Amino acid sequence: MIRNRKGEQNMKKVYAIEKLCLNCRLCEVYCKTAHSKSKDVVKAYKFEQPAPVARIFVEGDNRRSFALQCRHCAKPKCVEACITGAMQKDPVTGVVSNDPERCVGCMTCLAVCPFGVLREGAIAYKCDLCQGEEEPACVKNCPNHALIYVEEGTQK
Amino acid sequence: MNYVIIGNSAAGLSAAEAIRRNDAEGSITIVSDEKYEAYSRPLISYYLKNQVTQEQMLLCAPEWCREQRVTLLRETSAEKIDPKAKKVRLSGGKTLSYDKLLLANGSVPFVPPVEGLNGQSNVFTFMDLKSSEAIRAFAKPEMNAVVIGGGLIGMKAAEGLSKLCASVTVLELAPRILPTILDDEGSRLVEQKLEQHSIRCLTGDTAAKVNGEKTVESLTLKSGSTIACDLLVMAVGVRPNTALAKAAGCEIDRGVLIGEQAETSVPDIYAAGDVAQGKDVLDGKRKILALWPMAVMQGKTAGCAMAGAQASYRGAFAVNAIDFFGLRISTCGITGTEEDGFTVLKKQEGETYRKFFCKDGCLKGYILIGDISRAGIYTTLVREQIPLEQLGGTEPFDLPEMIRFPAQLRDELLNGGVS
Repeated sequence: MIRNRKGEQNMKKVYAIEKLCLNCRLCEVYCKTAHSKSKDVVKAYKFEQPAPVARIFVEGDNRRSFALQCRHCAKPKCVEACITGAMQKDPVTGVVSNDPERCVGCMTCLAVCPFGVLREGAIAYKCDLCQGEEEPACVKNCPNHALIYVEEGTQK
Repeated sequence: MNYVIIGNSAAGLSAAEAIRRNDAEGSITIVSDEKYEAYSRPLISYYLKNQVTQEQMLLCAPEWCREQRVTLLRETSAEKIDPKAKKVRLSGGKTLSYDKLLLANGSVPFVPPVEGLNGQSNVFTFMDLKSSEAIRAFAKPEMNAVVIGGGLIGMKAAEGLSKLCASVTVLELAPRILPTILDDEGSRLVEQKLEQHSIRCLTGDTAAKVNGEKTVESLTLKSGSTIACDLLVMAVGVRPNTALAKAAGCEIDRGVLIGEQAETSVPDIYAAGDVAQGKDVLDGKRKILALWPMAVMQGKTAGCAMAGAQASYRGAFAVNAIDFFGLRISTCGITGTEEDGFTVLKKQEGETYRKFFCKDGCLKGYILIGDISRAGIYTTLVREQIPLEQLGGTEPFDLPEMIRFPAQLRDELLNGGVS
């Protein structure tokens, strides 16, 4: 078990391996599906209203690409900036999540996030590391293992 | 240690949390003139348009004070600070001793003298929950509402009122609405959006005279015309609550001047939030950055410093996000067009407007309207002052993407040095 300097357990995060990314964007598809009501690809894409939102961004083109989602920062700027208290970092798991009951969609979090990984909508949408699942949907469904889910500090 | 915090909003609460993290034993007292527990001030406009309940506005769980061992004195105001004896006199005659004191007492609406304005019952300000409640209770569907002042507060009041009243008119003396954050093109876009929702903006004009004895009935404008008015909101501006600090001997400019640990010029007195005037890291000038994230950052810094911990106030700059009827706006950094040596790039497509302010090869500020997706990446460029050349020398109009960042820097930001 990796511990950081403070002796706390390091959280597991999703890391992208640029040289393995094929720019297929399946992570976006599965992220959107995982965050839909139906959990069904076709229904999520074609019928659900409000439309589910992917919380992962594939950047680049067929020569060079990688996927990016919330880094669950140690000192998250989104949490600091949140005007409602909806955005919180779990002190135990380290997961930064947005409470849909409290968020009013002001998007201050989006404006301060260093990586621009929040998506706008009625509320701010972000990666929750698929809480409750063994592995985030993006990692599970990446066909070329370009996304890994490991403890901080062990990604290289 | 006795810690006394005056003010129970973003800065005060953040300070209390930071103190408790660094000092498990000390006594923390928050003095608040509000009758409510800590709530989110920016949400008063959401409350006005009935999007949130008062309960949803609360910032702390009911057990927060007990868990953090914070004493909250509500409906209590600080009247005088004696910096030699290190005591604060409160309303009601009680006195509190402090070892470290934080002024997080914000600002108050500034109501300019207008001929005929004399405390009529249908005149409101829009600054706290009490004022938002009062407007909501008074507003009726047949009323003509007028807002004097087209800044952030005035425009948010107007947006809320449009859902409660028959008509809303905004009077702004400057040639455009939102004059401090937007330029002419940007303001026009927002004005068009507001017009679609029956909000009329009269720029370059204001009320010369208020007509009506017990209640305001109409306004005579500087331009000569008269408009009906059943409900008047005064939102010309705010003034920081500097009187306490001034009397205590703190150095004041527009706000209470603070250094990098949120300290004032008087030992053991700190200031944070809308009352404080600290250094803008982008141009080195000391400004009041009356924005939520700044208040939290300054409050945290003050709290750490007060508890003797390392304070990490690496300088501040403005970042703001706001929307009107779904038209999103994000602004950041220095956005004054008159600044010397700035290269300004702008582009408009329909309801989308982007404007970038660059200097010395770095991005210093932006205005984004309509599409604000991934705006935070531009904020990173401003915060870190990364030379645009390193991003391939492209103009910042291009899609904001992390892939443009040099691999090493990106790796540092994404996987390592982020804190």
